[in-house]
Amino acid sequence: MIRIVPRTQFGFWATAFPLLLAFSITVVVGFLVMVAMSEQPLSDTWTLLTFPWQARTASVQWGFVLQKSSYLAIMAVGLSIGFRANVWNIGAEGQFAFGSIAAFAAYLLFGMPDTTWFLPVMLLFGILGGIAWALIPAALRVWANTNELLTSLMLVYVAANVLNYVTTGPWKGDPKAGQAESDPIHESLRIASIIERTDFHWGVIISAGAILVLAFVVLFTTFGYSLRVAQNTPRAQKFAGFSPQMTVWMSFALSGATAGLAGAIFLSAETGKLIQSENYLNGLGFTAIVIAFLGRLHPIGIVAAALLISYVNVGATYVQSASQVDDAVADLVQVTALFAVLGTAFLSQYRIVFGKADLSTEGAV
Amino acid sequence: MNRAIKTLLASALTFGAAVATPAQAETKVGFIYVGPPGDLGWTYRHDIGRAAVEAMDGFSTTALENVPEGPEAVEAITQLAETGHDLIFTTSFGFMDATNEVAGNYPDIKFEHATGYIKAHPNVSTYSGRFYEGRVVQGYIAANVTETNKIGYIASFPIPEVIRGINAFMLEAKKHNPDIEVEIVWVFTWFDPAKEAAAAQALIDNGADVIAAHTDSPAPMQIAEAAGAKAFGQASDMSRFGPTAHLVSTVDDWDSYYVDRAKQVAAGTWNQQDSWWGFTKDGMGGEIGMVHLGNYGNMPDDVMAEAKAIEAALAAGDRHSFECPIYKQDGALAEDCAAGEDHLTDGTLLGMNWYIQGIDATIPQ
Repeated sequence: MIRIVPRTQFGFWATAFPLLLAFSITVVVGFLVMVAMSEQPLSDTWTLLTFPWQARTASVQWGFVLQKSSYLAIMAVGLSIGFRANVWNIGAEGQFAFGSIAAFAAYLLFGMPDTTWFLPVMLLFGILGGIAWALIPAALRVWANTNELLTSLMLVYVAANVLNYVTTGPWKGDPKAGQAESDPIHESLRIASIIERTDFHWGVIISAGAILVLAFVVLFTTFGYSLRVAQNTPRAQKFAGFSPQMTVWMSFALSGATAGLAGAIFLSAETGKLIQSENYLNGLGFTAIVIAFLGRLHPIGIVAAALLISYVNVGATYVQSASQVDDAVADLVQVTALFAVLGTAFLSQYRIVFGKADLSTEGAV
Repeated sequence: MNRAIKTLLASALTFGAAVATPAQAETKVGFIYVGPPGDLGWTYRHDIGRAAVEAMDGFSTTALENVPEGPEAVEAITQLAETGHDLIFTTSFGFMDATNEVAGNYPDIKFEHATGYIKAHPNVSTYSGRFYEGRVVQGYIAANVTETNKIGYIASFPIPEVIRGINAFMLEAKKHNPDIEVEIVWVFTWFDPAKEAAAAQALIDNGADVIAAHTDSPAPMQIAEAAGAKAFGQASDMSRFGPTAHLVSTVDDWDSYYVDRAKQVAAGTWNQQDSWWGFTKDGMGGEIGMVHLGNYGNMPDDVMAEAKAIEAALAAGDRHSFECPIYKQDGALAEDCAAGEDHLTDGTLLGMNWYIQGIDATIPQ
């Protein structure tokens, strides 16, 4: 007889066992996907796992992984703060877009300064832009009691259209570019690579610094504590000095700030200009939601999840280039990982017991 | 870990599956597509060219599909370079910056960019078809089959290639039907069947009875068929999408160029160049070029005979698409004609950013 009983002791294994199980499920399913999609599943799986060492330039591959994971991790850490407090901002993609738009607006507003010293101002405006866009669903939730899941998501599409408007309208650059885009910002405002010819640039370091600050706030301050307890015990949160409304405002402001920062870094480091939405926005803000849950809403877990998923994503494009396996394999691995982590999460709260119930020592379910 | 051990390990783990490079040196050719080969237009024809290379002994090919023309293109092109490709074709105008950026990092690999004009490094060539030769024949046919004297023209981006097509079309049409008018809709995309269909419908609703498109999908042809209008196929033979609407298709033909260039890389004779082939390679009745016309139909026999005669004359070099005198929209004689040329020069055509007299529209700026 199999029974599910609540855990009474929470040790290392209570956390590690579900994650190991989820990892194993992902590996097995991922391999089955590869068998279905590839003519030589063993060697292609091997390539996917070891691509930085098989590639011509390992540093280029690691650069891609670090670059992608930095955007995902910074946004996911911001989102996780609200998710812990049951505030559901799923519109990071739109706040990311607005961070880029605001950073570019600052560039125009201050007369297109041609100096690296202006970069912090652009990043600051990016953060403010992200916050401003995130506060719309927060205000609607607090004042009009609307569902923030819906409003934050819908504002993604509004932001994408704002991006299309500015790139085809007031900020339109060269019409011969073959896509709607703004004029480029000065080279001096482009974030530079740390290792030449790779995408490992200073934006990765800026994101890492921001993640450290946020992790400290979440894990070691009263404010972070109050957000963390909000999920299960609104009363305890009240004692910590926070109203539920304040939780909504702060959650959206923080997640908007991180997405806006990511958007500003992206503008400076990757494109140097705004581009029409379908070529500029590539779903980082949505993937960040997955990363937040894969990392169990904990900063360390999120960084690990961002690195792992980015590794698989870059590897999938590599395998596609090397042996023409469709890179949809990356999406399938990502979704499998998400289901596995969420599906096994309850094992950290409950355990499976084989055998007869002994009601004297266990609270049977 | 040195390469020998790595290869050994890899072979062991994959039960001897082929991961090491094949014994004989194979020339690897990579392709970047902006859409799917299933677009049945632009990308479809490039994929047929790729297949022609693949069919040769000693050559293998890889294609990455649906690559957005933004920052992601850099990663896709880089991964082809990282996986040992010797020659990489990037088959959309929007890959111009990304192609040149990656080419700078891999000087030993040859890059070929379709329809662009920037060759920032000695290992970058550009190539395109003189698609406007097909537009001349289309203009003649349209002038003779239209009843409303109104042509609907679906344009992608206001780049010289597209403007050149509109001018070639209207220059010939006006010669045979001075009352003919054109309405141009800019859709700012190369491939978006829904947008293309909406544009075609709007043009037909506005009185156009012949539709020409400079976008990649057969959607405009299907709309014309449903509305009882006529249309020209673009990039590939689209006759099956409009049994009663299809007049003729301008078919792109990349096969001989891709085969030529791949062979040159294998032989070590590849050189930087800018290739621009029309109905014939040399425009003087030589070998088949990058453009041909397919499946004439749904027009009177005498119109078809004359259209084919124009095609033959252009192919043989007996006449030019842009013969002087040509007047600009403001009534001024084109500079080349004023300077005594028989026809517009290639330099003028490559940078064409003005309409000819008789087109009542403005180019988006």
